[in-house]
Amino acid sequence: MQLQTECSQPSSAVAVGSNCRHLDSASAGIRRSRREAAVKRRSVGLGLAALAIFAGLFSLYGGHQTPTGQAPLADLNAANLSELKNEFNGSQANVRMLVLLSPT
Amino acid sequence: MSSTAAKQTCACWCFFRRLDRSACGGASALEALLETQTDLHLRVFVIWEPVLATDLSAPSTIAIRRLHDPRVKQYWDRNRVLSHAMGEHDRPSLVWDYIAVYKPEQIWTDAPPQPEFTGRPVVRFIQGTRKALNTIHSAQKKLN
Repeated sequence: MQLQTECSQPSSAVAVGSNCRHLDSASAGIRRSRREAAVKRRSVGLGLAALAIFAGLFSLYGGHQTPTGQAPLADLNAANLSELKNEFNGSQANVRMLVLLSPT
Repeated sequence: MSSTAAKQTCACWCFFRRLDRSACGGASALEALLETQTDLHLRVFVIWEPVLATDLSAPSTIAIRRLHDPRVKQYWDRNRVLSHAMGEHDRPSLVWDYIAVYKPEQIWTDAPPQPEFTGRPVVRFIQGTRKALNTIHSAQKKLN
C-alpha cells in the first residue's frame, strides 16, 4: 500500500503539473480571444464613427441641387448684385420676401 | 460594439444633426409658411451666406431642398455682399437668419427698401411674417 501511495503521489504530481500547463495555455487562449474581440469591437466602433462623420459631412456639403421647378442656385457677388436688385424691382407689382440664411 | 465607440458614434451623429437642425430650422419654417400662402405671385429671394465656422461651402442639396416652393429663388452669397449692402460693417451688424416682407411698389435703390415687416431669427418671426402677409393681402383686396 505504501509503495502504491508513493508511486501514485509522483504520478499525481506529474498529472497536476500537466493539468496546470493545460490550464495555462487555456487561459492564455481565453486572454488572446478577449484581446482580439476588444480589437474587433474597437475597429467596428471606429468604422461606424467614420461612417457617421462621412454621412454628416455629405449631408452638410454634398451637392448643391435646387428642387424641380426652381432656377439653379445662383452665385451672388458684387458684380451681379444688380441682377438680384433688377429681379426684385421687376416683380414690384407683387409681395416680395427677402430671407438671409446660413448653410449650417 | 464597445460603449465608448457607441458614445463616440452617437456624439458624431448628434453633432451633425444639431448643425443640420440649426441650419435648416429657418428654411423649414419658411417652407411651412409658404405652403399656407395661396398668392401665386409672391416672390421669395433666399440668400445663403457663410456666417458660421462650418459654412465652408454653398448650402448642400439637403439644405436647399428644404425650400422646394417654386416661388423661391435661391442664391449663394459667398462674400455676403447683400449683408454689406444692408449695413454690415462688423460682426454684430451682420445680417443673417433674417426675414423681410416688402409691399408691392417698394423699389430697391442703393439698398433694399425699408421692409413692411422684418425679424430675426427667422423661426421666431415666422408668425409675424404670416400676419404681415395676411395684412398686406387684405389691404390689397380692399383696394381692388
